[in-house]
Amino acid sequence: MGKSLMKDIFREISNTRKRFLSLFFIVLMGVGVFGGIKAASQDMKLTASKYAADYNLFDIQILSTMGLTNDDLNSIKSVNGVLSAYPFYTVDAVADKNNKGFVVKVISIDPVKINKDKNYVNKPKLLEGRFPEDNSECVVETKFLKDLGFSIGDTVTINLDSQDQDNIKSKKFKIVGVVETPYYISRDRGSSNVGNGQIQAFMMVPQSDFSMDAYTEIDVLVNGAKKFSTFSDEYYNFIQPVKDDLTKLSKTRSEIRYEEIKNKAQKEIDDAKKALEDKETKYNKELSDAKAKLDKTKIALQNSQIQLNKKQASFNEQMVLNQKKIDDGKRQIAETQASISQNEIDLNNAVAEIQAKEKELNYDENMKKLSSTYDELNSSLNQLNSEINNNPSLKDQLKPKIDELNGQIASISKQIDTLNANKKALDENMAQLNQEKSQLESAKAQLAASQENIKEQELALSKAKTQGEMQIDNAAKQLNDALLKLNDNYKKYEANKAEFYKEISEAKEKIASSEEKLKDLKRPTWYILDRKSNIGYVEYGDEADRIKALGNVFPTIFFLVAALVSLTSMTRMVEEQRTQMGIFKALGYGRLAIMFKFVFYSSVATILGGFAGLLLGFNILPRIIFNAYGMMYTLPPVITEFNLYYAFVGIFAALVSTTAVAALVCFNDLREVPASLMRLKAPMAGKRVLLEKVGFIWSRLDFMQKVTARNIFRYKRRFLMTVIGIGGCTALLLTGFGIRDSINIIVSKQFNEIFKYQMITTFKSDASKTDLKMLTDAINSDKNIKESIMLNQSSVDVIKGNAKKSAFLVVTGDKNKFRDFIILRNRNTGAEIPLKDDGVVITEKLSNMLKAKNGDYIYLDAGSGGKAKVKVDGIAENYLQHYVYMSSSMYEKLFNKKMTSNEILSKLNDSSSVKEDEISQKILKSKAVMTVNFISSVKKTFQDVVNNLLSVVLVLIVSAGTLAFVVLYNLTNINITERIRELATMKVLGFYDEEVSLYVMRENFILTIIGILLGFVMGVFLHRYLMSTVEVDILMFGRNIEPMSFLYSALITMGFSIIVSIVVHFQLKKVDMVKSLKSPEID
Amino acid sequence: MGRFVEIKNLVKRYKMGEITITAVSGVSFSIDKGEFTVIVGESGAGKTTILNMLGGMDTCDEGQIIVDGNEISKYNQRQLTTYRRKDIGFVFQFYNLVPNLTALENVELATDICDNPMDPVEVLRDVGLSERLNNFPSQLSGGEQQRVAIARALAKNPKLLLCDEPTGALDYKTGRAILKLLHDTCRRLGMTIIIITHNKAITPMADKVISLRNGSIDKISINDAPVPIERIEW
Repeated sequence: MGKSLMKDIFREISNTRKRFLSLFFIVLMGVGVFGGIKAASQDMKLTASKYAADYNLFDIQILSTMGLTNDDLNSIKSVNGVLSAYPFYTVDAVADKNNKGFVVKVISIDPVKINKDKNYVNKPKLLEGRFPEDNSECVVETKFLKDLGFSIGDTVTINLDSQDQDNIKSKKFKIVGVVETPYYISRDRGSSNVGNGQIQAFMMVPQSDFSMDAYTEIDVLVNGAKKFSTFSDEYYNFIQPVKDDLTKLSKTRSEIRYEEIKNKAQKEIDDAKKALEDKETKYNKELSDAKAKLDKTKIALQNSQIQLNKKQASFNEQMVLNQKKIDDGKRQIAETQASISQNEIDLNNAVAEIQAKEKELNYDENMKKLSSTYDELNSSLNQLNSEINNNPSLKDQLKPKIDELNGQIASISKQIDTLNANKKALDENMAQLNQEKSQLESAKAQLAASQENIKEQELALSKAKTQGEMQIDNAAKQLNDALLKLNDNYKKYEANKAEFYKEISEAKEKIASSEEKLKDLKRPTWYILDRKSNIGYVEYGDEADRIKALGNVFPTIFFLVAALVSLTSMTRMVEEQRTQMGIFKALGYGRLAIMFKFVFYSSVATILGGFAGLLLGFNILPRIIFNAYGMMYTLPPVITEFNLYYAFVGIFAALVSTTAVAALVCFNDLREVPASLMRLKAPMAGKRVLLEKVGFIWSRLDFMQKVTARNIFRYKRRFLMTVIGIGGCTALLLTGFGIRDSINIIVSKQFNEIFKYQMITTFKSDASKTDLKMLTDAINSDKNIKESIMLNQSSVDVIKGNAKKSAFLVVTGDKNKFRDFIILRNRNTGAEIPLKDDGVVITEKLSNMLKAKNGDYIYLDAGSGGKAKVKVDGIAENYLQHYVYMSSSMYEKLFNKKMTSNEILSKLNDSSSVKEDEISQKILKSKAVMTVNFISSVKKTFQDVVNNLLSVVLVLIVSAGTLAFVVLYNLTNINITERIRELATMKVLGFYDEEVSLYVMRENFILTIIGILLGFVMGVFLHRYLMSTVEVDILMFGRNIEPMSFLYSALITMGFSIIVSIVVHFQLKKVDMVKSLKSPEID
Repeated sequence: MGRFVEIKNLVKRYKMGEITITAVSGVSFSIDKGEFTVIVGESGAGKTTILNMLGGMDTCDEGQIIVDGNEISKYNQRQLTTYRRKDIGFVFQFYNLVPNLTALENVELATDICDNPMDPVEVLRDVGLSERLNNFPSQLSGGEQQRVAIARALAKNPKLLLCDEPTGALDYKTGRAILKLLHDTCRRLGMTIIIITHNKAITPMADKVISLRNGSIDKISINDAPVPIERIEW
């Protein structure tokens, strides 16, 4: 190559720095984004694969329905191709601190071999501290420390479920280190049937802390498998033979294990039976002894009662007797008193009579009278006698008188005597009466004494009575107490007896169920799994594939736009250099030599730009994308590699679209003779545009608008390039935003609009009625649960023609209530789809995949549950998983059996994590429950995935935006250089700078708007295509782009267009009219 | 009253890397209103530079340019643009028509932005293009294109019509026709016209001839009796 030619090339490059750089940057962007996104998926896989290899993630994992033994381990080790095999115990437990607890998976490690054996499987990566050396030491993951607030050196207490109590010796572990394990790269730690059902973290403890009789799993490394990427088919093909051998081995091992277990179980049952028998006899004896003792006491007490009763009776009798005596005495006294009173009365009467007689007798007076009469008589006599004596003559005359007097004296004497006799009789009577009276007095005194006596007796009696009664009461009370106690003892005895019987019957039941189980004991099945069983790796692989799918379309479009622009640049350059080419040709340079300039120019820019782009793209994009996933996955830093394949493809494609095009255009031109080359290429002829024929529009445009319109349509190539370029960018932006919309919609629609419940409780459909009642009570009584519905959900294969997809069959018995829990509606119209009894409603994606439309018939294969043909009655909007909805009557019709519920959907009032934890802990206490899940956690997990994708989308949006800028700038630049004369002319004509800028910009804006509109159309299709590519089987992304996204993409493109305009405005200001107009070379 | 155009001690230097070239060094002249002036000189004599400065397309380093009493030399960029817009009509050697506009539209492009334009159609008729109004430049001959360029300049109704080698790209016959057109316009409209040319042969038709050599005035001569173009042969 001539020296001057090379000089010319380098001068050209330095003179047209702007063009060179823009070519460089466009290629950089195009190739960089293309390579970077393409490589991202590879790098993601590479990083995870290397991590798996470095830390010996199992190649094959063996689980058994009945655990695995050392014999199993040894036979596995002897299988050809097995590099190493390690057994693990695992158990789920609840670790808590300060009333905060969560479910952890306790995994065993071999503290010796973990350090020594380089083929230790699932080797944890020690981040801090050390591995456990002694029992009761553990290592945990970072999350464990963070979420529970532990740090190294703390002691963790774990609580085990009752059936797991014996599986682990120690319940307290000291944290001695922090680890990561290749086993868990995602956040998902699986689910559990303890605690709230969600395993949050793992901890690893020495094997010797476990006391389980069989290993939970045995993990195997396959010799030589590390050289394959864990995501490749080659890898799976490589380990397949070992898997096959292990499958063969599993048959024999299962049989042996089966016998072992059977014998052991049989022995256990026998032992239990014997123990039960012994226990029964022992208990029975104890019980009868106790009963006898109680009965004896009872009889004794009964006797006491009788005696007491007797005592009471005799006491009572005596009391009565005594009372009677007293009463008699009293009565006698009363009688005596009465007779005394009578006697007294009589006596007094008698006295009164005597006194009356005395009065009547009137003794003293009568005596006096008589005495005086007597005395008078005597005196009269004496007088007479004296007179006689004196006169004894008179004697006879006085003799009658003396006689009479004597008679009278005699009579008076007689009368006195009588009176005296009477008086004497009266006095005698009186004396007698007095005597009687004194007698009566003494009787009275006697009576008083008796009365006193009786009183004393009465007092004594009442005292004796109280005393006696007290004694008796005491005795009765004692007896009563004894009786009560006896009763208690009886009750106790009964309780013991009941308990004993219960115990016995339970033990019997247990034995019976053990026997039943033993009868049902199936041969253990080995599950021989590979890394596809590791959800973390599978999801990660899916994510990487999704990125790859994104990388298939997005960067390709990106690249195409870049290529288009660089193609325009190069074409333009060749055209500008026409005259020069003519001169070189005239000077005798060959075609190739002349072409070399353009080839060299463009290939230097392309290769430099391409490599710079690849260096940036390979390093930056995978890093950004990987780091976006970093939050979700626990992985070592990303390994970025210079992917030769994509580097070659990217640069080659870039060279084709720049250098090859330049060469082609140049070659075309070079066919002309030098003279014609040197002659000015005729300026593009002016022409009327189609719009001018549309008079009513054209006439309405002002002059500048007409000019703009004509310019736009005149330069067709520029028009196309700009519109396609801008359209491409807008399409990419719109796709980016659209992906965001489509993904966002899944969470918002699926979990807010379609699933109206917040909690899913699955339970054993064969749970006992009481357990089930407990569960429903727990759910119904919870205040935080608004409403619940029971339904049946099961896996089912849906078949139509050759297509077969697995889905969930949801059967509801209450069609009306069901409508409140799951919204079945048409995605486009929003119309509700009723669940009928003669068909099923299937979800949209399922319908698409099966090509099953309304009215079509599909087959439902529920495995052992039966097979049925059913009509599709509706296609419901749904974004996650596939569902077939059916009414229970339909189910009964189809499968000839009653629908049994196994799931409860509940609406919650409060979905805070605290409340949800509360509920789940409460519900999980019920034996019937299998799992409790919350929409919120599903939502959260999904939101994480969404966020990851979104950050990738952001990368795409930023790239597309940058591209939009470069494209616009470049195209505008080309536009300006092409029309520099025209613009200079306008300046000369006195157009102000802003008018000149506007003249160019108006066209640009119109082109931008057309480009944006085209971009919308392209974007919608690109988005739709991308969505169906990226979409995984069970997902349906939203199909629509939100209006806001259109706005955003348009605004971003417009924004770049404005920035470009501003830059160009300053460039236009600098345009030198004089210079531009002088040279006729360009135009 | 001063002269319509007054140039005093005009100096223009160009920096080409480290060398400074003085393109115009102390030129002074004046032109009256309605004068048909021809500036002649060899290539590089500085005539285009003077014209550019006079037309507000370039600025001077020293000296004064006064047009119609306004000192153009003190104008800033924007004022210069306004000056070009309103007061100046330019005709170039290479016509500089906008290829995408018809003859009429090219004229309208200019009349659209000035205050007191003439009717574009009339102007075009005046330059003899009434039949070619709606033709694009590519459909016109060189002479016709230059007529459009002149029409575009005239239609603005400028104070000054500046023509830079207007016949340079035209054949002899056409060139004469253009010159005649310019001359007639000058006489008919009383337009002040300055023509730059290296062709001394046409100087007799001018009212004033300014000869330049190496950036300075060589001679200024005034023709009292200009010869019509028809009588000039070269």
